[in-house]
Amino acid sequence: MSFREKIMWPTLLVGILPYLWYFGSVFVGWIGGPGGIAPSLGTLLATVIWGTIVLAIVVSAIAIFNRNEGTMLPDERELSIERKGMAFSYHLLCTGILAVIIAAWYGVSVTAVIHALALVFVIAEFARVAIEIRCLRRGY
Amino acid sequence: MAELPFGNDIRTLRFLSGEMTQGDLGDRVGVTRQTIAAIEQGKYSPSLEVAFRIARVFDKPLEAVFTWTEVAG
Repeated sequence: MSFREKIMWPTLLVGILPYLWYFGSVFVGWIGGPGGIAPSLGTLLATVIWGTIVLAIVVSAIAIFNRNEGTMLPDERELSIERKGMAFSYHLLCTGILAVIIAAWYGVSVTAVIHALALVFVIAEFARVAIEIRCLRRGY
Repeated sequence: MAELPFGNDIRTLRFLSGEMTQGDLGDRVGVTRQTIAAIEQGKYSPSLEVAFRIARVFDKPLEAVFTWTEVAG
């Protein structure tokens, strides 16, 4: 397993946990009735910071344990795979944002629109990571 | 559109070069072991730069390492 793949797995598995918790809380609040979208934007910000810190610690630990494996910089195949992931993620992001704009047009609340936009960003990001892992596992 | 199947003899050339490992070749070329494995299996076509670097490691011309047979279609 290359260094790139080693950092992609925790990015997917560990990185997604805070967002699962956050959007799970939003969903629970949402089914609770009108105006029940409980977590505030402050909670979203705290989730992003918490997720980033956890990921930084995990990736640093992987880098330290693999410091004797030569270069940790991605090579041309890994960069090409990254571009593939970015291209897929970009289309997903555009589609999601368009869907949110249409929803906003039909009078969805500002809070719901903000949560939906955050969800679109998170889905696009983790789709990118998943595509990269798939390509890295398959060779290209 | 015609298929453009790429092939290579890297595995044979590694064997003939004192059973050089994919990792050793990767280190000398500047790519990961996984990239050498992907090239060997025909899953990834390297850039010209990497192709020339691989050929140079084995001290062979490019066409002795990589083959390209155009299939009419």
